[in-house]
Amino acid sequence: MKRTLSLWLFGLFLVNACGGDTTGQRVALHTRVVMAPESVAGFTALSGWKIRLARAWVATGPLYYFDGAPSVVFDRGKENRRFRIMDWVLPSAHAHPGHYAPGVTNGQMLDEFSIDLLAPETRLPEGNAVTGMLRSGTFSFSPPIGGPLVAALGNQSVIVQGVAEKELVQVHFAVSVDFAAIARRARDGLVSGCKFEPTTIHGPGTVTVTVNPRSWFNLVDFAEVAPGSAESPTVIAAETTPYIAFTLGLVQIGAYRFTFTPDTPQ
Amino acid sequence: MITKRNTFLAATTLLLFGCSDAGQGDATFTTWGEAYIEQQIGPDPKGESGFIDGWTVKFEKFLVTFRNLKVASKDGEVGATSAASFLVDNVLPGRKTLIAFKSLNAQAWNAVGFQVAPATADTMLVGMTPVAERDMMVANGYSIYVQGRAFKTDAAGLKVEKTFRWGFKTATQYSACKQAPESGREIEGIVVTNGGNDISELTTHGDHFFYDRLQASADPAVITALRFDAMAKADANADGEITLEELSATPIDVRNYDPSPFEVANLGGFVTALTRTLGHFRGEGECQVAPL
Repeated sequence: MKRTLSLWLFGLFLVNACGGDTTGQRVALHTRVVMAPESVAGFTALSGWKIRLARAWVATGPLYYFDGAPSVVFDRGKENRRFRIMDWVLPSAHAHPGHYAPGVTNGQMLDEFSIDLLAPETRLPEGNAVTGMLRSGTFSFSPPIGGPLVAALGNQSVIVQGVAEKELVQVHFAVSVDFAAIARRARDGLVSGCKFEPTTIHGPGTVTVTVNPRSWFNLVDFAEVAPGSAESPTVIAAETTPYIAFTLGLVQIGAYRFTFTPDTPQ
Repeated sequence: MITKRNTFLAATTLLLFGCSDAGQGDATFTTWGEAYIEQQIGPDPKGESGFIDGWTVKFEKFLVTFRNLKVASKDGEVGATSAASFLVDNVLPGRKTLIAFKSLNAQAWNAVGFQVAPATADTMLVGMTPVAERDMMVANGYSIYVQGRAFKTDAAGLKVEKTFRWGFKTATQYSACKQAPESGREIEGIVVTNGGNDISELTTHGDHFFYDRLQASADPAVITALRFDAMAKADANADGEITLEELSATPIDVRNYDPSPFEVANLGGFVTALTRTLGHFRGEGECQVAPL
């Protein structure tokens, strides 16, 4: 499915690349991933828990960059509500307003990789783009296929360990999520509609993907997780409420932000 | 009377725009709340046409403020605009006329939009919507206000009833509205014909307040359901009224609610986020949505 999507996007990409005006010229993109600086030393999630991470490994998939505005509101999806009370009057039951319209694909990085989010930065394989506007991006997870952490990830797409504190309670935790669990929350592991700081690409440069793990934990309540210890953290079991909350957090668009820095000032 | 005033405003606006060899026609915009708002939303254990957890919701007020209706084309040509705003209570039965734009060029206008934004002192009342409702909306800065009651029979056979009065200040731009294929065929915007009157309904969907997800599930087998149990339990002081403050103090139950892909952690934020989905075009037609 991801391959199919990639081919489709690449088709759009080629069409756009053939333009004859000032946009549409092919350029190389470097790609790097960093943790949001404000979260490096720890962060307080919306749930009220203050969290410090000791490990944050992620298997990443392709990244796509679009000229459409980022997602702001909702998409019910036409297949998910099968009947409305007025359907017999107005045959209906389909999509919602405001769903994300990515527009034209102006850039991409197609390789699977794996990153240690606690590292100062991780350089991903090269991507490419066509000159033009970027306003939104798609982050994606993948099964552990590429990059330096494939062996360490095993069959998991995300492995996180840390300590959560609230009032006088301290919980040492570890949680692992495989690709299937993520794909149940975000089709094909794609987190679409993320914000790309608006920019117009005129030449080669670097796309920085800033990941803020705070968003991963906004819905997680550690109250029902055993305290554990630094040496033996409590493993959050699959399909428990904290686990479900964490997997929901992984696919929040607010967790991923894209910026572009040109190689030479534009 | 209101319609006459609206027509005058529309005609005034249209003086700015020229004529067409293809002739001219009118474009009328109405609003309707469908049976869900006029009557009630009942239970449905399958979750396909009502509340999956047995509740029935009956709205008593469903106030929406529309403004800045615009008929244009993608190439920038503007057929008609109105900066006026209109307050309507869609619990009142039937389709209510918001505005009638007269003598537009007969052509396809494929960039139609409107706003739902806070009422102001000069907001016009549509249909039988009372003046007091406008005063309340203006005083509180509301764009949307809903009031109603929810009831169900619990497992012990006892009738449980909750009430709600929720006002929202969200301001939302709906643009590039399309008629849904299910309404005949997909049409971007409207088509004004020579001598005709194209009628478009700005439909409000009351069931959206009770959705359990902000975006469709990645799994097509998982439907978006209507739920009320969690809202009923949010009535912390057990006075029978569920306030927005109580909803905002209630964390989302991730086993039943999915805020993906947005950062919403409590039911108050969830319901507020859903207010941006109320506006539709000609029944189930959709528009691009952006906060104002």
